Amino acid sequence: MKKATRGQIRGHNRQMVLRSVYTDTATSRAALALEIGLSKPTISELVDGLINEGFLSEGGFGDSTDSGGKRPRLLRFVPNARQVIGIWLTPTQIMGVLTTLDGEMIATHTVEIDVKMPFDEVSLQDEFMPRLGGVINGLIAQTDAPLLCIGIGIAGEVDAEGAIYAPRFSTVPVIFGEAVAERLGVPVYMANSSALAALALYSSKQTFRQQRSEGIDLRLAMLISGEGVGMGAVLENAAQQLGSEIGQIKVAGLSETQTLDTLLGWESIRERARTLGREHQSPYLQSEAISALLIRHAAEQHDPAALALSDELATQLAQVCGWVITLLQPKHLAITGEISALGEVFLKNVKKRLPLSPTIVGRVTFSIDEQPNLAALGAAYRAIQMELGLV
Amino acid sequence: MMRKIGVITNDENGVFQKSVINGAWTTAEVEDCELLIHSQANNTLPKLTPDEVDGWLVIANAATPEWLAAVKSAGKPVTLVSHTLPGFPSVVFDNRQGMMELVKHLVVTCGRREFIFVRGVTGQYDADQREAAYTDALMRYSAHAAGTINGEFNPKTAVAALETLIKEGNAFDAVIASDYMMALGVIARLKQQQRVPQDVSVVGFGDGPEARAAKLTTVAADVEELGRRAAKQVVHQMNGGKISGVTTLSVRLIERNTSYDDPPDPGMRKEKPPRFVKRG
Repeated sequence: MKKATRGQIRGHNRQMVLRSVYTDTATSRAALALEIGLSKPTISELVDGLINEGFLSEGGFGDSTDSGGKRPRLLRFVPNARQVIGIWLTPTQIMGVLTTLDGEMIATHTVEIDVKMPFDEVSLQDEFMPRLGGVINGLIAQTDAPLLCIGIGIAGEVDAEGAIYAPRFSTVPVIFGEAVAERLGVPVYMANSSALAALALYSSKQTFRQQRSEGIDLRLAMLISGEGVGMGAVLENAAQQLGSEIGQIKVAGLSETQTLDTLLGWESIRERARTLGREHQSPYLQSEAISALLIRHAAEQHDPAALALSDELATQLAQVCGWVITLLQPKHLAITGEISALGEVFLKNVKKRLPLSPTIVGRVTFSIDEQPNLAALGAAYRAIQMELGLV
Repeated sequence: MMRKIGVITNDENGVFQKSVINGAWTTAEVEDCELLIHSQANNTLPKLTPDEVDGWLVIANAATPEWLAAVKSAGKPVTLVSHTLPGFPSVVFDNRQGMMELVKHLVVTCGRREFIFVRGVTGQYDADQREAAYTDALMRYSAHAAGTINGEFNPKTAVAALETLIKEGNAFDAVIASDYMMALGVIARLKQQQRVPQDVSVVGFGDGPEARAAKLTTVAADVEELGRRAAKQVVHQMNGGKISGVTTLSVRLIERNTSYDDPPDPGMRKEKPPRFVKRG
């Protein structure tokens, strides 16, 4: 095993100090020394460095200790010391967010991808890269503090260099993290978009924040039914993040061509809605513009086509939820993507149809989350985690 | 030499436009630029003299697509404010998020179900976006559309249309206006016969001194911030940054006295939850 260098140790200690103040675990130099187990002079040197860089500020006094003595000066994390960009690449749109270091969104920026997909090597350079640059520039224009780093999420198999396999998006590997980093002079981190969506929910949802503040290790799993079907997970207090597109899985008992994408991908759902709409002469589900909200509204009006479709979808999704719960044993399962607009009644239907024992189901909480830009927000959170060790 | 940003507006004295321009001045000062305001109330757009202006801000559909195309081919950066056009970067508010929050507030907090919508100017970006979001929001929160009237972003027009609706005997318990000035007109008219908010809740979109004075529940779109950020976008382009797409700014619900009887004391709002785990 290689020994850590002095620089690496210092970097690790710096992250520990920053994280302790960020999470309010220790908010004075003395408390940090006690918490981290380093000498007071070492802590002071690290704190001074972080104050100079603008990540921490010092002001106000805490309570003195039981034995009396000087009241400690309090340290505070400065969320707007730097800003971060998160980007989500989909086959139809590039969506970016600009956030502070605690994930507060300052602005979003989107550009539609109006060219034929998937990209090949030439169109990736000529068509895609200028659009990506346009989004990143759009967000850089809005920064009010130095840019710390950029996170990028994409559906597919993603490693540190980028997406090595993203068939819906490109016929060739989408490896450009390094090129973007070189051009902008900031670190760029790429990851799977389903994992990032799960991380965003884990980091931003109030109920989860509350649970985490109580020290609960929230094992979060997420199913995404959007343009394709994906699965994400955040485990081990966010030390482990998983994500994968599961839409290509073939379902036993169905035809050769049927996959999860053809059952639960949004385009297929729309097509199925139209078919059922025609069969039942639905006044709602025969048009070109069918949204999940329209299906939900039609089901609330007891439209037979919408009710039949909701039942079908609930049965199929329950099956997939069953796999995920069995495999990952999450404490919480979230459903997101376009399908989430079907709402709480739909979620109840899914839960009713879970192919699992009530004991197992009882150990899991469920939610249906409609936030549209989770993967972009997650890309920002991931970049902050990689750069500063904060989640 | 000080760089110049040209601002095209329909009405430099309009409440909205004035705030956008104020915000743009904030950026202009920081970036050492000058603003040249061109109010084209008489429908004349400025001639494109290449050296006069370094970039353009166009507020709310104030320039024709042909004029914009000519600016683009002259190589001058353009930022559109509060509207979009393919091929031109823009800065807009999140009308959808705002409308969802208004309808959610009226249904969930105020218990309203029968909605009247006062639309803005059909064909104008914000007006169309807000109306489309309103339709979706009604579906999302299972509320009922009791009627839509044309207000054209003009309080007098809105009140006249409401008059007709009242005469027709439509029953409603909530009104959403596409801007706050129309909402104030609606409140003044309704108060002649009904109580606001006890009988009818009225909310608007956007905020300003008049809305604050009337304690109107609304979604705050900080219009000066919109102008400030739009100017940042055009300056970034003037510095050589190539931008495509749309920058969207969030809005937030401000609960005041025209939607329900007992709005929360701003000081009593829930604090942000802890950022994270406190060990031990």
